[in-house]
Amino acid sequence: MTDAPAAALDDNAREPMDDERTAFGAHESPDLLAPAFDDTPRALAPRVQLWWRIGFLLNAVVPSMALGVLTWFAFFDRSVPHTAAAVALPWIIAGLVGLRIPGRRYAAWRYRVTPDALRLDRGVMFRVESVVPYTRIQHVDTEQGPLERMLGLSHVTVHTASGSGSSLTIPGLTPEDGHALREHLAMLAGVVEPL
Amino acid sequence: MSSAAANVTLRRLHPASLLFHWFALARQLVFPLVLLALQLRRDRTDWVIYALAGVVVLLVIGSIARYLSTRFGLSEDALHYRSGVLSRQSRVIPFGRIQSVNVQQSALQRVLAMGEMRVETATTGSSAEVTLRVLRWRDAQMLREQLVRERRSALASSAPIVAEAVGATARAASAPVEEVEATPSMIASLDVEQLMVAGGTSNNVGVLLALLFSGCERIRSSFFDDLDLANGIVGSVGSVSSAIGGVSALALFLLLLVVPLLVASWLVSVGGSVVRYYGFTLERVGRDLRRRHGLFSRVEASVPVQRAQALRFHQSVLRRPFDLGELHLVSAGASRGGEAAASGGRQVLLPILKRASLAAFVPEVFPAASLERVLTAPMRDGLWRRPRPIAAARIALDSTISWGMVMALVMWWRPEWALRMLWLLPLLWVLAVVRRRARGLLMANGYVVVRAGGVARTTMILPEAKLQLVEVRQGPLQRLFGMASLRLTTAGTGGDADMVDLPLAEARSVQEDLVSRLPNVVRHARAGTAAATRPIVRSLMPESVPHGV
Repeated sequence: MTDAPAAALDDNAREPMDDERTAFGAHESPDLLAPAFDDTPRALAPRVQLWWRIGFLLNAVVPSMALGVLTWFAFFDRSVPHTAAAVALPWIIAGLVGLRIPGRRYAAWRYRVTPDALRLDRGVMFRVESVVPYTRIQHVDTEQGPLERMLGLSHVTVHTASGSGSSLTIPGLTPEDGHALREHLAMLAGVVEPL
Repeated sequence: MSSAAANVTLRRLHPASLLFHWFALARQLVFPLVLLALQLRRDRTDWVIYALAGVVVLLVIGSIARYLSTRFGLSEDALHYRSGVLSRQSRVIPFGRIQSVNVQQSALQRVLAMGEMRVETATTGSSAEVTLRVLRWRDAQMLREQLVRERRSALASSAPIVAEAVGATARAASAPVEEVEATPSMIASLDVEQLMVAGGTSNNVGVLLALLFSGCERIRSSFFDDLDLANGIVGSVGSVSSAIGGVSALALFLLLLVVPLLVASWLVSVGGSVVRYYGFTLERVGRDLRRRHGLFSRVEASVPVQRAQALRFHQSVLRRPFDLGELHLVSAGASRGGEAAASGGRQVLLPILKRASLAAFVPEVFPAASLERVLTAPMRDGLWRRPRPIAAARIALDSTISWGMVMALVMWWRPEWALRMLWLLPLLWVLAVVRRRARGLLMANGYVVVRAGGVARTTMILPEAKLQLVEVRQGPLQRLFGMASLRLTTAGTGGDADMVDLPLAEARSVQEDLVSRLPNVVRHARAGTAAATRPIVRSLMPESVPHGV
């Protein structure tokens, strides 16, 4: 793990997590009354930091190309060093951000499957603690991008009927965890009639 | 609704639809055509004209085909709609899923006794609606009445879960009752004078005018002293008595240009309000409300009370002194393009309303709410949860930082202006105190009331049972002060309420409070009552929810 400071969580007094803990038994079908659903805060899979890091770098691709082209054609007289610097700049920024942020973000992320609601606590600069009552869940998706598949990760998206169109995403789950979580949430949500 | 599709008699829109469609097309094409004409005057080429003619012919053929392919009809339990030539779409909207049915008339349609009807469902998105443009006005009104009636009886008969089996008989039985219930009763109406007040206070032009005429002498001496332009405007208007001699030509020009422009736009907004809301009435029809208004183009909209997510009472700067405000209804899933979508999923319920009568009006939408005492209670009353006084410092710091950034930008450009901008900082700090004092959150009788805004004020009234998501949010500054914001999200667009700067612990406890009072099936399951398939019928209706308070 990285040097992630736990300072962001000072108010919560939560126990530290085992890194490789699986949230749910991968093969047992989640049961409504299963004892697996205690209120313990669960961390994401540590590999998600790598995913975020690569994400930052990928975000640098377009700005780097744009800056390069702009510098080459528009601003300077086609000088190679300037263009090289312009191309490198976004990558350097992404690299620096990628060094610092993912660890802290990982440390700040917790989700809890409590008896009445799904709770998500996250955010480094801006902390957000969401509570999604199961009765409000419209549907639940598991998704896996190509990069996530390579890293063995998946994410779960929880859709509510909220008018601002926001849906909540839990990133960095192992495919088994993601699947189990989706099944479980879907079942909890299915108990009630949707809107 | 399965077998019904076969024996629905579908009919076409009124043939005048073609006319209106061409009219709309022509209006869209005017600007490109003018551009093209200007271009053609320079280099005259035949093929452009032919191409243009071809396009016009294609459009006309397309619109005729579209008209011929568009059909609609009512089956026993659903509205059927079919349209499209190349990509066909056919929609079946069960009556129970209809959220609102609006008919409206533009001025042109009114001359021809035509009108259009829009049927909205509860899902979000452009495909959530059917627009019938145009029908004979009488037909549109009759169709609307019929749809509203069908919807009501569909909802009534679906209340018990067994209704699927006995649907037909239940509907037959309940129909006469609904008929009696459906005689409309007037709730509110507005006369021209009220509408003029509404229009006159609706935008901020009036504020500008007031500022120009009243406080400008003081502003001039302290702030704008040697800015030629500002001095010109402010000085000339402000000190009319003394200024006649020393006014520069530029200032006189601005006086003659700017002030009439402001006055004119103010008059336009007064007139616009009267034209738009002329003859405003709000009636109760059964469980729903119906809103009718319009001088030239007429709107007749059903307000889906059962889908209401929140009420929003907004008092603009100019309305505060008169204790007036505008009442909006936030409902679930207003589709884009509809009138509601224009103001972000909200629709105007009353363009003007006295704050004192707000409490009396709320039960029209949320029958279970008895908020009279609550809404009139002063903030000091202890009923309200409020930010601590220190929150004013947080707000002041926040606005100082943003203002500082603006100043830094100006400093880079015109340093001498930036120094003058410092004068506004104390004003921002005073404003921070005012804003802190205006904020409050209150929970009573299963409703949450959130108030905010030091200058322009917004009061949101949300039924607890309709909350979708409750979030505690903390920015960096808030973390420093140990505060947090509480965001309450409903299913309506524009129906979110933010309570900013509560103490963190209090924000969390409110969050827990609200969530614990939501209908909670899992707890039932844990307690050993019926298992996973136990449905909660109408779980979104406030009446069926056990209230904590």
